[in-house]
Amino acid sequence: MPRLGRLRARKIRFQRLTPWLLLLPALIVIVPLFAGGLAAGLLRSFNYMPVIGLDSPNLAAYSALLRDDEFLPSLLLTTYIALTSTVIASLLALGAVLMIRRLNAGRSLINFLLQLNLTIPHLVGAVGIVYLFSQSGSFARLALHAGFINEPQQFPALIYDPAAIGIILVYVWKELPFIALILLASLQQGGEEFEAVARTLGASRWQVLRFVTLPNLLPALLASSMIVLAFTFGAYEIPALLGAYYPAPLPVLAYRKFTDVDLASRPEAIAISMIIAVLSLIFVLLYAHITRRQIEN
Amino acid sequence: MTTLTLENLNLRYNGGADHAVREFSLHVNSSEFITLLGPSGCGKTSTLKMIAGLIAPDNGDILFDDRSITHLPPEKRRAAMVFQNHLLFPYLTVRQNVAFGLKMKRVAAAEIQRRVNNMLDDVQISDLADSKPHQISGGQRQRAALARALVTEPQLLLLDEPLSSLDAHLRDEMRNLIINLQRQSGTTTVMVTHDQHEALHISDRIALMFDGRLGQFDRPTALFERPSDIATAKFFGCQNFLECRISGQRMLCQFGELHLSANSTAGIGAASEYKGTATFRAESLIVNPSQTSVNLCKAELLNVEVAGSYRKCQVKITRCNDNPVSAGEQEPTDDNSIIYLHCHARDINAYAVGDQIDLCIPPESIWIIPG
Repeated sequence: MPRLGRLRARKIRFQRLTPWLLLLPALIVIVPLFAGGLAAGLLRSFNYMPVIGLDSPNLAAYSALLRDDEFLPSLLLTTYIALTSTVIASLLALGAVLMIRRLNAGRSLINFLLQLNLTIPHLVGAVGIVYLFSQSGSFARLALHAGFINEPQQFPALIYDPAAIGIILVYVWKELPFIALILLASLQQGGEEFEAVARTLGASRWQVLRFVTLPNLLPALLASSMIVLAFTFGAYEIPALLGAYYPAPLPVLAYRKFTDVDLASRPEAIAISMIIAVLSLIFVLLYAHITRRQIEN
Repeated sequence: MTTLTLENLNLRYNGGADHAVREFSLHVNSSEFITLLGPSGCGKTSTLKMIAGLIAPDNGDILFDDRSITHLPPEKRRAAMVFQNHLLFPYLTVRQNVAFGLKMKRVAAAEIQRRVNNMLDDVQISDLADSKPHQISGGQRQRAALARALVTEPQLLLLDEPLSSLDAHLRDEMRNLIINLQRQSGTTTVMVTHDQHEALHISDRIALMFDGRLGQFDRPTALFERPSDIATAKFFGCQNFLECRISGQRMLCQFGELHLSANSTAGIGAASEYKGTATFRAESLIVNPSQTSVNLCKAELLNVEVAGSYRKCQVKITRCNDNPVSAGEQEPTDDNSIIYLHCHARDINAYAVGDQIDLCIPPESIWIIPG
């Protein structure tokens, strides 16, 4: 019996370990590259680099950032871009989904087009926006030919502008289909049946939208919006291509400081990256919380 | 209380190529409980959704109390529907779910509270009022869904397979609850099911549907005992069919002459001689009958299948009423000489496959389907 008991205990221990053993190959890649990089970055942002003699960690980089004239406008601009593009993309996606579901024909074509859009890189969208919306772009030329403006410079500056309209346009173009696809999938999970029940219980079309469709879509809308918000907050290439020089969005500012000839700027660059990472993490945790509640329900 | 009339409803799909429902007409009396019964895909749920206003018929008319409501949207019809899957709103509590319809109709808050409390009592889930749907069992969810529909005091209650997602024990409980609440409220009710036992147990009348058309529409006992056609008889489990010529209270089939009862020919006209199909249920046959019985047959036991304390057998009739089977007007074959017999195990246990057994086909169990 004692021997059997030991064998049984060993078997249970092995069974508990099995998932971790299966995860090991992935962990070997993720932990050093991601967590390791993050930890190294965190230490560097605290001015801790014993290799070059910096062995007393401090918050100098963070306090330098707070004193930096560029940091706060940059943080506000990044938040503005992320929030504006997420809210616009979410609202348009919601509207699009509500329209698409009323279509009888062409629904699968629109679904296909939405999926197709996901495969196009952000960079392509940025180039398209430059061609279309810049002061030397197609719309400016059309406006010139139509006589709305006398010279291309009179066309409103939508690219490299302080209001970051070009950046927001790219994000809306790219993220709208992503949110719409998630909402469509959510609607297909019984959404229409809930609406049918509500109508037989006396709810008008407007009441169905207000009391059934929107509450049903809300978890999926929030979850997809959080993903988009986290992404747009930390993304570099579009703000770098289409953003104004001052104030620059946080990822661009971080890159500039990191590549500055003054090596003393590097801890600040990494501190900015850490701030972006923490804020993105908060968005992801919010997403996880919303998704968990959705699964529980 | 409301009457429901369906007049020549038609519904096509696949661009009009196929009929889901065709020329469907029906009248349901006030406070009546009727069931649309039929195999999957026969158009019963489509019919229910047309009554609810969730699907528009291609043509035909739907009348509540002789007033056409075909062009009214669902929310104006006062026809509350309970779906197969309870479809309680997951973000609302049970109480909020039940109150939903009243809130949509802008009923005063105090009145909502009173009616919801009463309804929760009626369906015996008052203690779960503040739970979310995911926190209660399947049976409790279906009770809440029923309460949500009934609390609105609909003109018509529409039930789309409300018991099919429940296990056997809960199904019995829920079925009795539905019957009690329907009797108590007097709400005219239309239920859809493919389960004949459920329909037989619960309905005042059953509308049997095949391929989008209405078959027999009658009381449960009539459909079970006096089917109007072979499809209806087969749907309710009849397995024995004999083509025959009827003359008075006798029929001539491949087993020779068999006696009928006065009721056997109630489904056909007054002609003196005609052709028809005789049917009798496998469980109506008597094994080892008294020798004074009529329609006594000798049969060879071909196959025995155990079904709990009952046995499902196939037997080949070799003699009937002292006539060899060749005495009939049809040539007996291996196929048309075989009939199905369901009996208690004690009646057949003494026999082995291949043995001869005595049987009686009671005249009162034979029903003649015309044509």
